[in-house]
Amino acid sequence: MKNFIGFLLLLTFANVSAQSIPGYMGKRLTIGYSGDYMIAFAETSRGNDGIGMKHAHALNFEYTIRNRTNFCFQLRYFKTGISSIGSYYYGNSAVTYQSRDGRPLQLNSFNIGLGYKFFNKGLLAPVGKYIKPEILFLINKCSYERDRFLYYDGGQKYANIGTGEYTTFDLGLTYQIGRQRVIGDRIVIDSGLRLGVMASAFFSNVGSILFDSSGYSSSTFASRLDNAIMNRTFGHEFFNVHLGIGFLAF
Amino acid sequence: MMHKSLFRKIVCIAITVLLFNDGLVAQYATDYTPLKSSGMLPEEFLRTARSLSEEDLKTMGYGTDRIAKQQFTISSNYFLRDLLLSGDVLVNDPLTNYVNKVADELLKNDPELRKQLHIYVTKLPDVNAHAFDKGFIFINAGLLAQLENEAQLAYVIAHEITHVVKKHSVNQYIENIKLDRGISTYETGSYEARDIAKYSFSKDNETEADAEGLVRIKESGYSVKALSGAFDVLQYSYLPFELVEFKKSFFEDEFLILPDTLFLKKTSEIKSNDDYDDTKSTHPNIRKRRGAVEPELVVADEASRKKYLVSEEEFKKAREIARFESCRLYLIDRDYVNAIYAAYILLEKYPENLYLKKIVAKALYNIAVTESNSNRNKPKYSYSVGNNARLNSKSYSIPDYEKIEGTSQRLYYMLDNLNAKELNIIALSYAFKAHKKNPEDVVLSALTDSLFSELVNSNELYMGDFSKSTKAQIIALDTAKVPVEAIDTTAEESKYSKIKKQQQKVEITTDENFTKYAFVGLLQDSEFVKRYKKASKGLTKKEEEKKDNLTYKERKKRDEQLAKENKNKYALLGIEKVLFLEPFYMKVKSAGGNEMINYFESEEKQVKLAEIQKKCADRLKLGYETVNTKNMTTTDIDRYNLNSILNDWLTERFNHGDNVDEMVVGTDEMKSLIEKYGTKYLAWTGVYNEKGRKSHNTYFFILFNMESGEVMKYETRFTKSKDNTDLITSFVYNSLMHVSKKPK
Repeated sequence: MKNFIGFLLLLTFANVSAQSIPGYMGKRLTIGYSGDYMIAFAETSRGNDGIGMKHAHALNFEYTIRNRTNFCFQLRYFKTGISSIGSYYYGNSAVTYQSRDGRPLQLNSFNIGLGYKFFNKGLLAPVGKYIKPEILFLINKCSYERDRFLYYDGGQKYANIGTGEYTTFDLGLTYQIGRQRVIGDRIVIDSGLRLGVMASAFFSNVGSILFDSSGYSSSTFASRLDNAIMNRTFGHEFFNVHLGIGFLAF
Repeated sequence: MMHKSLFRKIVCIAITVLLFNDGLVAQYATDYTPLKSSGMLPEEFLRTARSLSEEDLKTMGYGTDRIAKQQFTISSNYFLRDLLLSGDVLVNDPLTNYVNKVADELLKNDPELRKQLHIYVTKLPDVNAHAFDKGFIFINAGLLAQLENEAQLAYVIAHEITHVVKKHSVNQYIENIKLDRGISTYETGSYEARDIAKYSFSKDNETEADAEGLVRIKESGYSVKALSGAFDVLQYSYLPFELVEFKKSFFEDEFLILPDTLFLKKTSEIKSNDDYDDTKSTHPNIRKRRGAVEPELVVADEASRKKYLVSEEEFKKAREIARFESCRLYLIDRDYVNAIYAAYILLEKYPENLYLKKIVAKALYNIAVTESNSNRNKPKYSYSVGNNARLNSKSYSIPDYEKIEGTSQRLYYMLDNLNAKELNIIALSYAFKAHKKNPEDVVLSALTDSLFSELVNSNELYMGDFSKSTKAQIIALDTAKVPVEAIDTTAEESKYSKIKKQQQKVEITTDENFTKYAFVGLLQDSEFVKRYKKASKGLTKKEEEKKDNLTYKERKKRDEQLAKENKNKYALLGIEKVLFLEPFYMKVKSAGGNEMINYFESEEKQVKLAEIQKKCADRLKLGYETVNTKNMTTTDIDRYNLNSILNDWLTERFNHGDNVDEMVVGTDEMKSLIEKYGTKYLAWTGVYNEKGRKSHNTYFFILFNMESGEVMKYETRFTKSKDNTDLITSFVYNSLMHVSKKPK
């Protein structure tokens, strides 16, 4: 991975020195905030109650490296709830999660995105319509109240599980189509649609289609949590509306 | 015996004519200065199309066809404003002043109407005049050059006044819409019939303008009989303004003798047909027009009427100026042979006129270099500006002489039958001789240098290729040798010596070899020799031959390399200052196959684009000069003239297309203009935006070197997006960045 990032950076900065790039009025670095939004019909951070909004926040650094290309670095964060981790067996009983305040498991995802914005033919970055492929590194932290897993063993009992926090890593590919405007020669407005596919979910699902997974047991607590985070992240990232604001720094 | 008073009258007229003729000859004997506007700019030149339209719309009322009238008014004012600021319209110049005096005479009895009219002369060579319903009448210089008398000019003005008074343009516009929609009462038939009806409606308007114009003439003091030749002017408008036999001696001197075979013994007859098919013409054919008007050219008081109410002298002076001006306008139009012929006609009268000699030298130069250029394998570049492919490849060739009628055909034939080398030699000979007579003239001197360079670099003709001795001297030398052989009668002359003798004889006697002796006289001139040597310094024929002795693959590789080098060469130009022309902006709305120009927005966006240019240039610290005609005041006549010069230059340069060898020669003022602004670079930017279901933009930026005419940078961007300010800013900045940034 390190090598891959190194290669990306080399490719990027090799171009920077080789070209005379206009940017916008000579400004090539954009710093900004953006959010990915979509109405969530289930599994919001509040759980399954009603319709909510799923969203992610990001801090963006974009640098124009060629006439029609921006190199994009993104620090991103989103938080959501996981209402169920499915049928995990503790002893001989299925376990359900029941927090004290009714909140589901909380998933905090910290992401790093590396990508390129390719502006349409004839345009000059950073103005106009673009497409943006991006690689997303996700550090997902799922927090829960460790003594609120409930199971039935002749009577209702709480299972004493884990440390209260579970961390997974994931890799995603996103594809964004959007449009950027520059207002007052300084403010950059970015809007578009974003499609994301998480590698783990993709390979897991494709794997289960390609290979016989009926004998595969995933009934341990960790694997169920992995699975739940993977599916939740996949749902969260799959399709979003993208809105951003930034300024042209230099 | 002649009556004493009549005799006195004749003597007076003769003296006036002599004085007048001498006056004109004296005035133009040595030079002519092209026309310029002067004085204060009229108010109507300073208003935007929007303000002109808003005023008209307020007074339009609520009658039928209101929307069509509104559309017409807006578009008409837009094009009127465009024309007023195009640089083609002359203000307070001798021609416009004279034409207005004629209009004053014509409308002496109708001062109210006179006040509503704005009459100007336009710097266009076509034999034409046109009017806007708003009261603007434009008479082309090309028409003035062809008229026979002042009464004819008055008739042309009267004809155009009828168009204005009767609102023919707007009526035509409304009728065309109705005919398109099938709701016109003028024609209710098929689509084809309605299409033809549009032309018929226009022809009816023209017939009415002819008739009403004649009525107006009859109401004035102008001679009606003098109009009998008015339609001849139109019929023969394609011919030069005079028919003068072209003499071969024009290009010749004692040593440069052109072969007789280059000159047609008989030129073709003038076959003009006045009864041509006018079904799809906006005007009735000449025979119909003449037939309708000439029977009416009878008035009882003809004897008291005059051909000239202003003055014959002023008419002839105006016509002469128009003729001088036409020579230059032909050059701008790339009509080189016509320019030479027009100058030739005037040179008969003013043989020492520098302006005319320069016209001939410039036209010859461009003909010669285009001919040389067509023989070379040069990499071609093509440019297209916006939706107009005006800078695309445009090769020049002399018009087919068979299509030319009258006396000028001889000149077309001659030039068409000369090859590149011969043309170069004739052009150089003419330019150098003109230069020797006018050594102070920098244009002639520069032309001479360029022709020397062309002779050496393109046509590979070195001093050794020309004879320093005359034909007679060589023959004398030859005959001096021949008797030695002739005396030896005992020896039998071999077949081969006979062949050689024959060849030698042919070489000396044939007219085809006239170029060999072309410079016999000039090679005696030390300046000629010095400049020729300077041009050929470091070059030998051998080297040149070697250079061009390439295979197809090698040449292709060389061309690719050259194109690559040129691309790199012009990537970053490091230019410090640029002169910006008023930008072009057009917004078009397309729906259902129809395109409508959004005039108001186009005008506003044009102003915005100029602001963007300034903003980007400032940010790049690129020196910014502009000849923008927006926000002019009445005292901005210099800016107006400057805009006119630059537009002339640009029009001519665009006419040359990708032919970079051709020199932009229509104006001699570029040098002083370059000095005034401290830059030789001229930039022109534009946007064409079409909004249909989606928006499309075409952006262009073009940078010229005004000294050489070279295109330094050419950029177009086609985008499927709205023409937002930020988008256009990014384009302009990018263009200017490449202009201003220095290459590493």
